[in-house]
Amino acid sequence: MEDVSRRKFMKLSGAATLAALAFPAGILAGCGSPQTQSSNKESDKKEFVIGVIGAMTGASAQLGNNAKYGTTIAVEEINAKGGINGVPIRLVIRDDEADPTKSLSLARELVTKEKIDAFIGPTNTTCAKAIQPYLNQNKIIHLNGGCTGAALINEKEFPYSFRTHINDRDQAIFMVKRAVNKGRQKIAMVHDTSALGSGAKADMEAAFKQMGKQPAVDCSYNVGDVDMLPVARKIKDAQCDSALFFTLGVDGAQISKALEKLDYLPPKIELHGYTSVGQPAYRDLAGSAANGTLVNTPTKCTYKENEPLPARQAALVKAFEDKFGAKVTNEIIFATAVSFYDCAYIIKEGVEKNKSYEADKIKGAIESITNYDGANSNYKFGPDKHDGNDPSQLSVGLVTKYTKGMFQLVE
Amino acid sequence: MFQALESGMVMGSIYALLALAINIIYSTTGIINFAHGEIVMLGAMFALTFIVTSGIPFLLGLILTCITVAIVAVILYYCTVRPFGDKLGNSLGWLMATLGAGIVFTNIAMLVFGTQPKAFPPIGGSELVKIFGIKLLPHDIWVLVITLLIALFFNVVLGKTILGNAIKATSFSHSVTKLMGISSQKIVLTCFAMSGIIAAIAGILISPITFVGPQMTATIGLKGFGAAIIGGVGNSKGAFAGGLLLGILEALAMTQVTPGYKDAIAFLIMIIAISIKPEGIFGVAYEKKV
Repeated sequence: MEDVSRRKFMKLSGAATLAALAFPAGILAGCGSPQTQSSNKESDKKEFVIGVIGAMTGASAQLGNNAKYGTTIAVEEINAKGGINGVPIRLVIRDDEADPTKSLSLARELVTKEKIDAFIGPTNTTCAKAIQPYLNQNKIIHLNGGCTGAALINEKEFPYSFRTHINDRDQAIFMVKRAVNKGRQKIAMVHDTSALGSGAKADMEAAFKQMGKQPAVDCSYNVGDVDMLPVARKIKDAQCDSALFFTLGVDGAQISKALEKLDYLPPKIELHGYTSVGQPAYRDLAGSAANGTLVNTPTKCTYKENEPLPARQAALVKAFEDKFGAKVTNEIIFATAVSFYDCAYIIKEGVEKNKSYEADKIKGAIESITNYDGANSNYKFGPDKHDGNDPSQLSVGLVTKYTKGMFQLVE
Repeated sequence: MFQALESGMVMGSIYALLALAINIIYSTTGIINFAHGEIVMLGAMFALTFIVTSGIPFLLGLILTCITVAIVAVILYYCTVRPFGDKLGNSLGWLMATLGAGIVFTNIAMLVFGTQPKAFPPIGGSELVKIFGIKLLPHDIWVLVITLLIALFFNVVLGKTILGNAIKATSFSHSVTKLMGISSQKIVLTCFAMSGIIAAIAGILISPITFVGPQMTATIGLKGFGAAIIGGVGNSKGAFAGGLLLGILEALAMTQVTPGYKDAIAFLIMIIAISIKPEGIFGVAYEKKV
């Protein structure tokens, strides 16, 4: 009995010692290991919150609608199929009216009050510049679906920011290369004097330098200028055979109308605009002066002459129309709206790849996506490539030949 | 060069129209209506609704637009100027009130009419015509002719009618006007209504050039103030001359300078003009009292 008791005592005391040693270690391990914490968090997770900020009122409202409509449709689809990792997504949408100060205060509200897990937006480059540092400091996975300023994506400075939309620099390279390869001799660079236009000018100049060429003329103007005759005259006086339009839809329309006055429209000159020239405002306002204008467009958002719209994109158009009304494709830029749509799916892909809601793991998972079949384009990310899109995904469409926001493929 | 001159004259006429309306209000109240650009924008919005969207015949649409905008201008007077009484020079409240009203008008327009600019058909069709080797729209000619007619009309009204004399008396002193049996408030109201009518006409004339949108007069409105100052605030001849001068010099300067500096050139012209002749081309020179 005594022996048994001693053995029992030794066992108990040994177990107690081990337990005593293990307990604090367990506590420490529990506190220190993100994996354990994350596992608990994952099992407790009731919802996955995605914050969206965009300009939904004011002059840039069309851009905000792209974000609102694109993300809403994507989240509805994802939730209908069980959410992310079985957790439903809650979408919190805010309007920053294209005001960077408001954008930052809304981002703060989304992070601190709504406890967002990921963020999509905003819709203006200046707003993106205002909120990106804050989002990255707070390790919020950030998908940019529509701001095209090339400098916004910087893997070292903003490690949690990714982009689906083709950026300005890639568009500039694409347009310059195409014009030079087509044998255009005198190419005009047309851009405004805003940060966007100045950036585009630098990008186009770099692309010209890369191609060993010089632009024939550099035409700048102020955003919203009414009399664009001086710009048109500069293009005509230089006898340009190609003009690269880095202009917003309304300004581009004013320039085309001025070129019409000087009788200097296609086929005398080729007009090739970046994606904003595809805004409905350009063709509506330029009228007959828009005939023959080419525009950059994602290849996936185009259709061939006498052929129906691509099935996937046509289904998305229907989803947009069912949800937001029959005229919705006149209120948005379809390709940009589906770029935002893709943002939601890439977040889903990132979370589900590692079955984790941790920002670093989602970031790593998105960086490992090498061929994602998006609705706007095929995306390829990497640790040094947070811009998922590239010029190989671009095509040229005809501005005046469009159906449901998609352009007829020219080349 | 001639194409630039034509373009400058059209833009100058638009600045002149804005300056004319600014002058009418200044001549009776001594204030600058900083919401005037936005009233022109509302004129364009109403014209778009009546003529394009509702399909009302042009002339009837024009009359309806003029009446509506005149009412808006009168309401503006009651809300932003009247509360500060007759001695407006003693208060700067009207300045903030008219500036604020402009912002309110822009936001209402965004809410009701949307934010995307819309095309407005030019008067006389969109086919370009060639005159002396210059390609221009018939609308451009209409802009020049109508502006000239409005300037002449105001010149006659102010110089040779009882209303003109009453306006001049009101601009001198509201109290003295009352003693003469003229209701200064009625005169001021009439001037606000007239400025609204000109704003409506300006809105229709500007629309095919700027497109119709809440921001359509953002820059042009400022240049309208510039034209009024160059010509001499309170003088209808000056408004017309100032507008044309600003438009033509701006267009000619653009033949030599990159268009990106257009606004800087326009305001530089304004500063130079003011520094040479502070009272404006047709303004009354300030006299030093010893």
